Amino acid sequence: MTKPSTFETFLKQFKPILYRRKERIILPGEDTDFVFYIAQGHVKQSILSLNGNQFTPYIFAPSTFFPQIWLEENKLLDTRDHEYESLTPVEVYRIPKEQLLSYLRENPNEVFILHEQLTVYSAELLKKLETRVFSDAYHLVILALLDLVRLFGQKEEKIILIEYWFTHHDIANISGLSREVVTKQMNKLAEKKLISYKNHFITINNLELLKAELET
Amino acid sequence: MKNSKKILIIEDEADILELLVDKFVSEKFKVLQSTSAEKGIKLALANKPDFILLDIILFKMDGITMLKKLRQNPWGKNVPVIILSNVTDQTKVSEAMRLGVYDYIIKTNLILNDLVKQVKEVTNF
Repeated sequence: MTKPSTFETFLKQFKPILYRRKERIILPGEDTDFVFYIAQGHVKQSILSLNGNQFTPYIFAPSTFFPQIWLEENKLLDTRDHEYESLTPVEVYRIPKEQLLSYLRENPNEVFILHEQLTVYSAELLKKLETRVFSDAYHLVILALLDLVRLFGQKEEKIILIEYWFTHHDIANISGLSREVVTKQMNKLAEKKLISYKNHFITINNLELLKAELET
Repeated sequence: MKNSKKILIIEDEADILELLVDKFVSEKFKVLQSTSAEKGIKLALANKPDFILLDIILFKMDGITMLKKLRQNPWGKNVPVIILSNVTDQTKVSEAMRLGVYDYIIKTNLILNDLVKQVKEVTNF
C-alpha cells in the first residue's frame, strides 16, 4: 500500500461535498473565503451575457483547484461576474483559504502544482478569448468539442469518444451559442464526417482534421 | 409509439416506483421496471434501454454492484444512469460517480418534471 501524500493527509481533515449536475457552487459576485479542490467530476466557470447566453471560459478537471486567482488582496478576483457550476456530478473539498495558505507555506513545493494549473488556465483563457473575438459559430463549436476531447476523450481504435452524455444544449452553454445554432454547426460537422454519434456519446472521427478546421 | 424511448426503473420502494412509472408512461416512454438489481440487470441487457434510473440501496444485490456489472458489459458501459439515493448515502453516491453516472437524485428532493426534462434532454426525446 502506498503512503498517502502530504496533500492527501491535509485534505482528509475536510469533509467532501457532493453536487449534482448543473448545481451552482459559487454564485456570480459571491465573495467566498474558500478554495475548492475537485476530487471527482468537472466544474465549469461561466459568464452570463446580458441577453442570457452562457459562455464557458474554462472547465476544471479532477485534481484541480478553483477559483484560480484568489491570493490578491484577500479577494477572489475572478469570481466577480463569473459563476462556478458542476458540469457533471462532482465531489469537491471546500478548503478555507487561510488553511490552504498555511499548508502552502509549510510545503512550498506544492506551490508549483498550483502554478502549473494557473499557467494552463491562463493559456486556455487566451485561446478561448482569441477564438471568441476572431471566429464564428462553427469555430466556437469546434473549440468546445476540442475542450471536451481534452477532458473526456477516450481513444477507441481510430476514433475518440467523448465519454459523458453531452447534448447540443450542453455544447451551447459551453460555447455561448444558442442550441439551434449549435445543432446547425454539429450537423455541418457530421455531414463532413468529422463527428458522429455512437452509443450515446459524441464521437470524433478524425481529431487532426477537426483541429485543422479551426484554421479554415 | 415507434419513436418512444425506453427507460428502465429499478426501485424497491413501491410508492416511488409507482410514481416514477406513472410519470414516464404519461410522458410516452416505454417503461421497464424491477424491484431488484438481479432482475434489473437481466432486463437491461435483454432490452437495452435508452436510460436507467437506479436505486442505490436495494435488497440482496445493491445498486453499486449492479452498476459495476453493467459497466463491464460492452453495451452497458455507456448507457446513461441516474442514481436514486437518500441523504445519508453520500459515500455510495461517491462510489457510483467513480463508475460513471449521468447524475444522482436525492429521493426526498425528487421533482418529477425536472427528472423527465433531464431524461428527455439526454435521450433527445
